[in-house]
Amino acid sequence: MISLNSLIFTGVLFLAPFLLSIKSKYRNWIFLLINLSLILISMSSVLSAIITFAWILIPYFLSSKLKKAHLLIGALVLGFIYLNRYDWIISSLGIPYLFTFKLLGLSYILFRQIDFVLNRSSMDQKNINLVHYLNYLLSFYTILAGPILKYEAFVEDLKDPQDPKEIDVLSVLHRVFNGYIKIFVLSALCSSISISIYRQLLTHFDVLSFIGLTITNALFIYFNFSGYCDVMIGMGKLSGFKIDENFNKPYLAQDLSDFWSRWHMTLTQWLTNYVFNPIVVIFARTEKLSLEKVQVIAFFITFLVAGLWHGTTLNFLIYGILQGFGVSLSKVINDYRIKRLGGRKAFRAHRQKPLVKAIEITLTLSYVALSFLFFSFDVLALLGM
Amino acid sequence: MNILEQVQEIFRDVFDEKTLVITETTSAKDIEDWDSLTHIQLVTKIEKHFKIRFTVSEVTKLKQVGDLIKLIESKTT
Repeated sequence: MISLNSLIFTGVLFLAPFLLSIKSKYRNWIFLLINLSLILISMSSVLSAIITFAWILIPYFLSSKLKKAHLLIGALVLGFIYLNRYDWIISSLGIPYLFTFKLLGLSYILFRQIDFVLNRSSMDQKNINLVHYLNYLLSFYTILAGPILKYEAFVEDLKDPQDPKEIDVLSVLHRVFNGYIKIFVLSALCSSISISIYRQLLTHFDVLSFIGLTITNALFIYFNFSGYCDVMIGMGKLSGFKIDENFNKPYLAQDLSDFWSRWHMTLTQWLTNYVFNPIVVIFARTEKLSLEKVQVIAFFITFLVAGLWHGTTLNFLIYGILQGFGVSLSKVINDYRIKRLGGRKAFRAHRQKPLVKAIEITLTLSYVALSFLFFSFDVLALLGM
Repeated sequence: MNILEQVQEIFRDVFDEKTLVITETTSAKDIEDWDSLTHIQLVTKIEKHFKIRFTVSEVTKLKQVGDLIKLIESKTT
């Protein structure tokens, strides 16, 4: 599990605060040097380096020439489907693969590129330069798994890093340490338990073990991802970076849209801005469908995109559909409850009652945990399909 | 009616609160029902009322009533 690359990465992570917690004109260059070095050591061949840098640089230069960004974004998405090997699309179209490597952190890079390309024309032009752009895409704090920052916020933060004297180093290190415990102890433990239950279930299915699998898997995913974010946000802070929070007690959410405003928050924000909102605005302008219907359509498309973005297999497509269905359903139920209770105020008060709260949290968490099974396991095989 | 008052009418309509008062510093934090969907309702109603169009990045950047009014001003003059 521990490779040379991850050892180097950890070394850099703890060395970086000494190099980067300075206000100097060289800070951005040092940061770039670290980011590029880490990318380069992850490369397996010259060809992969060429493709990676072409992928990163071409949109930067093209987006300055284009008035409408949509064509470029379409091309990026198509390129992403190919480079990230969506086998059920590529193979069914009979397109051959020309090379075998996968680009490190490509999913996250794509979403950052889209943020940059879409906003380029409307942002402060002084904030645009290649060094910022490369640091934004390749920042080693966020390249592998987010959080997904916005280009403008990232650059503003680069220009005015937090003074290290203002940082409560001890509490930050505490958070980082907890993050490591979440990753290497709690998530590792839950992961190994869930895998052994899964193996057992494949030969003999029983409901109790299935519930055990669902719980340990949900814990594994939460500890792993939130622990990772704790480490990155904390270590980033020690270097003067402000990295957005990504989790806010997600398993205490009271309905699915509440869940998505607490889980992988920066992804939800991205999807809201660049998928959900545009769809709703476009449909709402036509005034052909009621806003409720438009919303359901937009939820489905948004979570389909979210599911497919997470992984290349059909399992993720199912996961996306489940989420789209769940969020739509919870919206419809809540609208009905608001009407029955006579308004939003009464509804909010009603939801604060301990029993109602407990039921809502349990139902939401169960739905989420079941859908998360598609993330880790071949659920269809498990159910004998 | 100035722009703020006209926008306030739209807010009252969307949030279904006849007495809602907004200022330039009002943001989503101040109005509990101001979520992503009501945000879109606001945007499309404002577009229609002032006969203007917002772009995707403008829609996402609008966080405060003040920003909204500035943007409407720049698009209507």
